[in-house]
Amino acid sequence: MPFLSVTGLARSFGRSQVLVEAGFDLERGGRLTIAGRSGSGKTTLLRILAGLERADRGVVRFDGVAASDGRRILLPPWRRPVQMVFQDLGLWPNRSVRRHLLDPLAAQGVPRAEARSRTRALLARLGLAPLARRRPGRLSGGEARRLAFARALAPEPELLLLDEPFASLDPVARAEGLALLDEVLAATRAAVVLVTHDPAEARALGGEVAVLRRGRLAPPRPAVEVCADDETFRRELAES
Amino acid sequence: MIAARLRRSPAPLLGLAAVATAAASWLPLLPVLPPLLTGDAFTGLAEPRLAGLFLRTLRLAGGAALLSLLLGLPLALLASRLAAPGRSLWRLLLPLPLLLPPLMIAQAWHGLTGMDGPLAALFALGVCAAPFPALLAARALERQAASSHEAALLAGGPRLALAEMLRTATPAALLGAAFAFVFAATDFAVPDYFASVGEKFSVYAAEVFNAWRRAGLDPADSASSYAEGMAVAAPLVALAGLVLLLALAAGDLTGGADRGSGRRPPLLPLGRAAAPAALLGLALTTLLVLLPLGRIAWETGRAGPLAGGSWSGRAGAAFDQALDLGREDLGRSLANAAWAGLGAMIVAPIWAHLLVRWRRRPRAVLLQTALALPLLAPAVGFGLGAIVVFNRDLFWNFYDGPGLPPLVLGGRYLPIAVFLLAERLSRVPREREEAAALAGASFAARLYRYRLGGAFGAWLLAGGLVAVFTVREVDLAILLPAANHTAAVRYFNALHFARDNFVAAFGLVIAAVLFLPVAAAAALRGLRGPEDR
Repeated sequence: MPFLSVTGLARSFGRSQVLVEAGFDLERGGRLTIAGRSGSGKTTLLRILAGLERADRGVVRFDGVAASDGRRILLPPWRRPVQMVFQDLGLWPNRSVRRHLLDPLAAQGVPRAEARSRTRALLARLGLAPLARRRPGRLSGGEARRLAFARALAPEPELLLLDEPFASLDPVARAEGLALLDEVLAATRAAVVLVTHDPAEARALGGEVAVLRRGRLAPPRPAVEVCADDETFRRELAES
Repeated sequence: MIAARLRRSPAPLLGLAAVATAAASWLPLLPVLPPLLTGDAFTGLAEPRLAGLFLRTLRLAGGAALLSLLLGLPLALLASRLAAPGRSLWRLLLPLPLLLPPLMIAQAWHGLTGMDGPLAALFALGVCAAPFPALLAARALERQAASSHEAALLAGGPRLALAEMLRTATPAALLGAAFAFVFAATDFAVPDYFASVGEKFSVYAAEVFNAWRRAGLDPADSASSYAEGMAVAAPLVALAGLVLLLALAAGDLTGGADRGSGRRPPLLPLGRAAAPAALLGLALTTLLVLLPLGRIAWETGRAGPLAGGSWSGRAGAAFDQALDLGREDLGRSLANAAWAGLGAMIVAPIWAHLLVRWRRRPRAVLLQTALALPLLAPAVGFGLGAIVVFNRDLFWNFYDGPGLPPLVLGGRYLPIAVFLLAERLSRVPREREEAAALAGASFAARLYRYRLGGAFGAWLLAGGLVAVFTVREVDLAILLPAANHTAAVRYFNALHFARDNFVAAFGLVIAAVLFLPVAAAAALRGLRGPEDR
């Protein structure tokens, strides 16, 4: 039984059909990139997986248990084994870096001592320890991105959703972002679903790539095949 | 070249704003300057009576601010972001206590409970001012980055999401409470009403008035007595200023850290807590709006001066009388409000632009302080200052004419429009002005058309608030002969002559006239969809 199973997912906004019968399976610890052009419905798909958005039809299952069924959200976001890194990061402007990790753990009932030690370890691992008392407004773009990843990793999710986390970065920052992705992948055993239109990110994640075309998700294929080079990837997207 | 054009100082417009603000907001405060600067005015401050007055006013204003916060913050959450039944109704009714004359709230609660004394004044002023923290917090909550809320939901569930919403709303709510403090500290009519119906007590705004009255009406004497009275107020004005500036700075420091993608944040699902939350919303709305309005409505037909006949007959007669006797005064009030609001809509954006441009620089704090002064001074003192300045041969026609009330009333409430627009302009993308500059637009076009064009709701709200406060201001209007024939003064006089039916009916007419545009704007907003966030 796959860890994550998505079948027949459909979603439309007004007359615009964003997802049509989208489906895929993902094993525990698997890696999947959802690739598609801007506005193709990638983020909507991710948000449905997280339980932040309702589908019109289709089922999302974790370990065989239905989390969303059609318009019904059976498992709310906070009961799913999921964390997400948002495109605009979604940091909490009035909480310190340390609190970004500590407070979710406290909310999940992790004992205080354990929450502190996990927070310390994760901040150290992602190079945020010296910034522990800063608020997001006083972080650089790269530091803020690290914090968003650290927050998502802290509750040790089984599925990590990454919504174009390195979009609109300059080449240097993007290279740093890919290095960060390597660090993150080394730090977690979670399955990862990455949404992107950048072949370098898809290659860095590895695993498989599924291209979203006119709301339909093509069957996943190995990343080394779809993203063999930028031109191949561009052609795959152009067809969508 | 574009950078130079953006930096270029719009001298004519700045000059216009400076002249208008000087005449409307700063001139009435001028007479207090010499004795304050020389220190002569502070000689009486050591008196135990004045110290007691200061402490009582401090307790009253602090208590009212705290109450407004306790009532306003939960209502803001319920009206803006919690998925509980009744949300649209709470959102619509949220501004209503701000539109009602504070005396009307005081009269209603006295009628309902028989309350009097300083605690009653604290309660009434807190209830009246609750929309300040409620509205500002609701706006902050509606602007929270959707992803920030959703990240909290994923990471810690509804409890963490709620905690994050509270952290988002708190700086704005504190700013609202600071406004509540300022309004309560400078109010004269409400404490005066509760002192007149029960336990006698005084506040410092009354001392300003009494000091002036002791000296008589001679302009030379009144200038010095006004200064003496205002000097009593000086410590509290300074404290109110400090509170307001700290709250503005706190909002500035925490407000702009995360703007998100512009997507509206979703409602927080409450599950089984939805019904209790709806009950809390109903309870708060009942306390703030429905009970006082219900009491006033009941009083329109209560046996009183219009004795005889049924309740509905007496209520009908009271409304007839209110419309008949009060129509012209209400018309003058609305005309004053329209001019004051319009003036604020022209002048406030210029100061708001400067505050945004000078953000986090010392001169921005100086400008904020200067602009806030007319609001921090008691309205009574501001009105007496206007008399001292304008009651001269040189201004004789102007002093008695229809121009002075909108000028002075608008001048007192201009800071609210400026601070509101400064906050709004700080969120207009800079590229919008730069694109307009590239296209050759003048400063005025860039400011009024391209930057405020996308923030029309806030611009209208700024003018609307000044207009509303102009209509409901009684402390200042009662002192200016030219403003004596207005709705608020007629209401004040009728209340003190115990014409209960008329007072109630006229109060409801004023409230309805002020509330109709708000309701229309809410409906229009629903039709037009959201403006730029």
